[in-house]
Amino acid sequence: MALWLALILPALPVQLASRALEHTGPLVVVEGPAQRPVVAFCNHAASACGVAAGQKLAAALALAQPLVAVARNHERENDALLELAGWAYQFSAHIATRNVSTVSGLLLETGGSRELFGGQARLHRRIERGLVTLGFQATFGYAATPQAAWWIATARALGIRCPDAVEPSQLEPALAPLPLRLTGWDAPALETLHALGLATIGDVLALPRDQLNRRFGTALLLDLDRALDRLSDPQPRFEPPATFFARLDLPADVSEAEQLMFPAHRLLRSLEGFLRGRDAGTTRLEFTITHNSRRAKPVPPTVVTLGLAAPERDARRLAQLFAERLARVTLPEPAITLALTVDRLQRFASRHASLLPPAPGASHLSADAGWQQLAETLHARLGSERVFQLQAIDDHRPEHAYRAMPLVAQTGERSRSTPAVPQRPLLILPNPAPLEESDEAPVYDGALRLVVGPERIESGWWDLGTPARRAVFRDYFVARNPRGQTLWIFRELAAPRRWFLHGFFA
Amino acid sequence: MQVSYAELHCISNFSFLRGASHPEEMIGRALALGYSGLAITDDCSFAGSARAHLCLQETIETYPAARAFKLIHGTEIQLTDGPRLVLLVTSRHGYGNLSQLITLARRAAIKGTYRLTRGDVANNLALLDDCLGLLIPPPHAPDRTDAEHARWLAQILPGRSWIACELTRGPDDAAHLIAVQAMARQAGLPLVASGDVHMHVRGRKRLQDALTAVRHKLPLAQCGARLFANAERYLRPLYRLGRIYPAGLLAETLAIAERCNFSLAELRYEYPEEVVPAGETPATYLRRVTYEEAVSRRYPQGIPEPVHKQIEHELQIIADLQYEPYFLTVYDIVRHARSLNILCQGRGSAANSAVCYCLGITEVDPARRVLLFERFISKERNEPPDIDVDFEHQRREEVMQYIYKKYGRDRAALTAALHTYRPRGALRDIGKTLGLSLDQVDKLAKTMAWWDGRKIQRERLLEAGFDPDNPLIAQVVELAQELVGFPRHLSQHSGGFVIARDRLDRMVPIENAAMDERTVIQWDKDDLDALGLLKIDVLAIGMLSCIRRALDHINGFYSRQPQAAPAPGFIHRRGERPLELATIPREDDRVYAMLCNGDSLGVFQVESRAQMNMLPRLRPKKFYDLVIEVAIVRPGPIQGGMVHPYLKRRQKLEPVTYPSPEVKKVLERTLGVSIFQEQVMQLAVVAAGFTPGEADKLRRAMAAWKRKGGIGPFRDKLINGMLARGYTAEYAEQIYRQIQGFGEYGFPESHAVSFALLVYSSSWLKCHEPAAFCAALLDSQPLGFYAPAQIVRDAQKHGVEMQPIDIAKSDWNCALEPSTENPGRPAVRLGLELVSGFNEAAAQRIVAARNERAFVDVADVSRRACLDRGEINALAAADAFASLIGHRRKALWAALGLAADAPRTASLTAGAPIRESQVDLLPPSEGQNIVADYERTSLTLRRHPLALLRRRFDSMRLVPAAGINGTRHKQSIRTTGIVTCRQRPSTASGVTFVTLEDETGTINVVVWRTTAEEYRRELLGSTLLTVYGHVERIETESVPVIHVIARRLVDHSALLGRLTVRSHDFH
Repeated sequence: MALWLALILPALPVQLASRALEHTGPLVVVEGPAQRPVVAFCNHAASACGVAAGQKLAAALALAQPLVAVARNHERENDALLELAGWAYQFSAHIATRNVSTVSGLLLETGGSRELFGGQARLHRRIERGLVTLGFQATFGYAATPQAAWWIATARALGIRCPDAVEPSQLEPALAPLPLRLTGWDAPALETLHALGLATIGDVLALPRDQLNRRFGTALLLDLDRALDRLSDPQPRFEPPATFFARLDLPADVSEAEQLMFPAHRLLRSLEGFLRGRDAGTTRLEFTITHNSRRAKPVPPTVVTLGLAAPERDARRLAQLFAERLARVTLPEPAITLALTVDRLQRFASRHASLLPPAPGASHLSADAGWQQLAETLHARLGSERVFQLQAIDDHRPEHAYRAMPLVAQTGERSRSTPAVPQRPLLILPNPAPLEESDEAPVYDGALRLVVGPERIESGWWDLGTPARRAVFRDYFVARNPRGQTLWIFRELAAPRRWFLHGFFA
Repeated sequence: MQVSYAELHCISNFSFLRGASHPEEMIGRALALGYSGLAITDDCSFAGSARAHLCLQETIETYPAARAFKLIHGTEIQLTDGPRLVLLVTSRHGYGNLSQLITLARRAAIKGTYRLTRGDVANNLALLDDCLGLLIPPPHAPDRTDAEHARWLAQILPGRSWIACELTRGPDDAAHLIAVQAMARQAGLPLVASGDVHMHVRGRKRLQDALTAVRHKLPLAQCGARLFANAERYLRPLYRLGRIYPAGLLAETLAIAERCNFSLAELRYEYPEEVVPAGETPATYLRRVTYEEAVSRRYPQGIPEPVHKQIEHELQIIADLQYEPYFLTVYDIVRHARSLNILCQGRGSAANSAVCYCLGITEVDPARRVLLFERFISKERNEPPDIDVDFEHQRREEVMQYIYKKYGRDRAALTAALHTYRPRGALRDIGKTLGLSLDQVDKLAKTMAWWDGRKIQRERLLEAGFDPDNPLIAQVVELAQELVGFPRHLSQHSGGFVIARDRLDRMVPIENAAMDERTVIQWDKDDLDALGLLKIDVLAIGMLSCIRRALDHINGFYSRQPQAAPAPGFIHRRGERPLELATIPREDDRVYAMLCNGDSLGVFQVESRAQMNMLPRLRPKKFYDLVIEVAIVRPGPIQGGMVHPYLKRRQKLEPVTYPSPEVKKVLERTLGVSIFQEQVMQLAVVAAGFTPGEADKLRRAMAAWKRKGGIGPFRDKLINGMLARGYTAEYAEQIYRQIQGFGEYGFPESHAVSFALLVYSSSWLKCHEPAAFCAALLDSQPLGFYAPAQIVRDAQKHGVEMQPIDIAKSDWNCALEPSTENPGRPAVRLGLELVSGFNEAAAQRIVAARNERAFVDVADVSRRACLDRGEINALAAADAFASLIGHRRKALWAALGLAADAPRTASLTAGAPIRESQVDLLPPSEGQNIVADYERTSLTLRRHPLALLRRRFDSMRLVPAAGINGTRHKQSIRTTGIVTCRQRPSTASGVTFVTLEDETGTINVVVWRTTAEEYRRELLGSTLLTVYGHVERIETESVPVIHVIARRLVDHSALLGRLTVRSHDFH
């Protein structure tokens, strides 16, 4: 006999945020236009301060300080449900995900599989414990129909006591006292039912079917009939994907690499469940860390790859390996997301001989291999820090008008408009060199003759804090020395008005 | 060598988000540097020209040498398919031409942009007469296109065009000079130096960069080449220019300046002519209509002698100043409004005159009231008369359309409202450009509640958790501070009209407003004022609509009810003239008695809580007391500390004294305390020796507070003047402080008088015809401080019978019907307008169908009134079918049962009613009904929701509002009520006023800052708020003024369940 388990993840967006970081302060998930965000969900700390769904973010900020606000991301919620479904696949072969307005969760058919796990109670405990390690909180509902299980779990998520309805005869007594608002019916219908003084599922069941049908259409009756097992209710089957991908948005900026261990644990637990469901392991894990690009230019993501000699899936062991790699990683900018990708699944039993991936052979540099491949190879050998390409940047300050970009990381963030740069020397010194002076006139292998200029550049005053990027106030000149060299030099506008060499023309 | 130079290419901050200095700063700096002249050449605009002109005029007064300085008017225009040009005007004719050309370019594009092609210029060559042209070459080396542009310019402006050479320390200025010289040679054009000036000093570079970033909607770090590479686009000292430019190019600037001889002072307002019939002069016509209207409208029994003398006196002054066409223009508009039965009322300096009373521009009767016309209009002050006319809110548009139709769109236009940066907006924009996150920007902007005034305060930043010494925050604050007061954009003024005799666009450019088919001129009312041009403000007042509706209700009811007994004191009788604004009985004692009790809910201007508390203390007994009441509860007098002295003197707790007979003359009518703006100016004249002209400048400085930063420059003159005339230093300081406090909030007596008349009229209606007044207030929503629920409850308190919304009886608007208890008196039948989600057209169909025959059931209503499902459901939920089929749930069930397509295909389904078994729906409880009433109609005629909770409140020992009246001063108390209003006035430091309401009345709660901070959440979030605190009681001759001072707040909103009541919150 079918037995459905509904797992409801109350306030899923908040769970996603707190799953990624240990955060005990007030936190809200907002949606709506960027200028006027509205609170959609909040955690306990925030609601204790009086924050509630529907408030404007500005109002919430007035109530709770400091408040972390995260933008709602429906895609991430779906990803999370799929990730969870992939994990839960180890417990049941028939799983469906559901995401109806504010209620998200999974439906698992456990009637078929519970005996494999030693009965319903044991299965229940395993799922419950597993969810905790993944960082999810869920309410459970068991019933003979999926719809009833869903409603029961929803009721419990709202704090309403309600028995399971494992037997079909228990369905109506269990559902009748439940308030209509948890049915997930559309708001106008619920509003109308309320205005008619109808409060519970039982109140609606007591009305003549034809009159109800005329007023509210068939949708309500269909839902009720499915819940009460008067109508079959086939559920779509979740098909587990062939590869694993999961991503966590970090609700607050993470600047220390080791802080990433907490979310990494979550991801590895999830991966473990996923691999168990497929009886597989993996030898290659790729962690991708994306960075905050708010303050400076966009920063390419940091990729940390774990290569293993033999397929593995044990979360604890993988976490140890990752921690070792992480210790050698410095974050160029605070991290904002952490993602885990596994494309290669292997049978868990099989073993590889070498600890390192095979070294690239000469054949990799064959004639048709493009520069990209060369770059990849170089990259693999030298590490991403050593392979660059130059990119023009739109900035008046000469030393910031170019930047070195890691060659492989194609972030698509190249500056689109290459500015109409005036004639600039081919070689610009990254750090201008002070020039010797005689009678305040610059000298470089002899007295310098000023040929063009002054070109005055005063820019960058807004760059604060980082000493490497600071404002410039200079008069630039093209100068020539007795040896016939053409130089690019400047004089500081501020006292003591020193001269510097900044570049060479070819 | 002495260098002479006139800057010919300079944009101010009226080239929005480009220029980084005010026109005044530009003029000031150019004068200080010894420039021979300066052209303000804003981007296709003359918006900053009035400011520049005025600044120069003022400078000349203190520094006559500035007379030699040449202010040139011009504009910079980027042609769509051609070069960037600077066009300068040489004469009035040229000014009119260029103004027209700008209009052409602006009207061709959406608000804030313009579009002008070479073709447009070629087709309107006449518009370049008396204009000079400068071609601004691009910064890069000139190419073939540039050369072609130069030849084109030489062709269309032969002998009047130049190529501008702008050397601003670019990559290679020497090469640029050579290139433009070659280009000039080829085109046969002379070369002239100019500076592409964007700021008056180089220190504004950071702000200029920030403005550029705001314009591009990018953070500064991403602006790159969109920013200028350096800070050279400022007004450079002459010696520097001498080093940069060849002497010939500098000399050429003077030659050009020499040819530009136009001053804005030449603009003279020319009045419309059609207001005067052929064969008459404005003077003869004004005299004729004044006397004709006086006899027919005001004095059928003959004009009293003093009035006659007054009219003659005023006509003389008007004639001397040649203001007749202005009065006649206003008269024409008012007369037209009256012919459409639109209520209106004039106010302002010239409005309160015997002439305006005769012409019907105002109802303020000179025979009854102290009117000093010269107080309002004077010969010495070269100030245009000022008449604002208020019209009924809903019908003002008709008046505006009349003006457009009569004078044409090329002669009439709305003045601009210039929006300037305030701290919030400045912080937001600067914060964004400097890369703060949206959250931070929001938080930062939020620290600047408007009551912080115009300065960004350190303490506020600290409170919000920002470190003011953090370099980034410091930079944001510093730049935002500079940005405050910068013009941001022009939008249309709510109703300030300019009307020209000929084409308006030859006086000032006209551009598109945001609304379709609306245009706005490029000057705001301050500019027009400063140039001495006339404007008419066509404004809207909701209370005028309300008064007209009340009058219609009254006249309708008594003409339908033969046996009706009108209110005592009501002169109207059946068959006589209907009641009008002008025939409302005057100086009625019961009206004043009502006001003395603070019983003023719904009354114009004096219904706020502060006013209600002031009324029992001021105890108005006559009309002039209302004039003072209107003016005194305002930020100006409160900040100037005038309220308490006046109250004390009025209550005879303090002797009324005057420091001199001159001052007595000015302040006698306000017991020695200056309350009105006019009094302040007169004081400056009689006590400090200001000339009327100087006093007028003082007034303008007060009005332009936001722009110029106060009246500081007048301080010495004022205080020294008063000391010299024997006043004590203390008194002089006091007067100075008062003037300062007035700031922009100063309220003129001339306006207060007109407002007071509406206060009196609405009070009379409330006192004698409360049913009509209540119905009219409900019809006029949204209006005033109070929600429909409170208006209805107040009417019930005054004995008005209220009848519920009923499908069989209600119209769209509220209506008067004979009271069931006393058929001679009116009761209010609530209108369908109160049903949320309903519409007027549906209501009209219901009335029409009902007049044919009565409705029998819900389906009948739906069918015959052709209502759709939403409409019929709205009625059912609002309990409008109660008389037809019973409680609202039954009605709703029936409504839902109608076939979905029933109404639109009425005849098809009409014959086949659906038979259904009876469904037993539980009737709603009283509480559920109350909640549903509030949800659907925002009020209830059942019991107050708190009446249901009273037993519970009693057990919690919460005292009802009525119980508070019997408490002692300082007594501890706890009470609760629904929050109807939260207010945090600018004048009270940190105190929040909360008004609570229960079934017995209202409770005034005062929450001091520390309590407010401790209970912030309860204060802001509660619907039902319980207050622990003590009573503060001020005895007056009538009702005591009682406040509850809160010590602790508790949120009990949960007790209300689903009840939704919205509070009015003011900050």
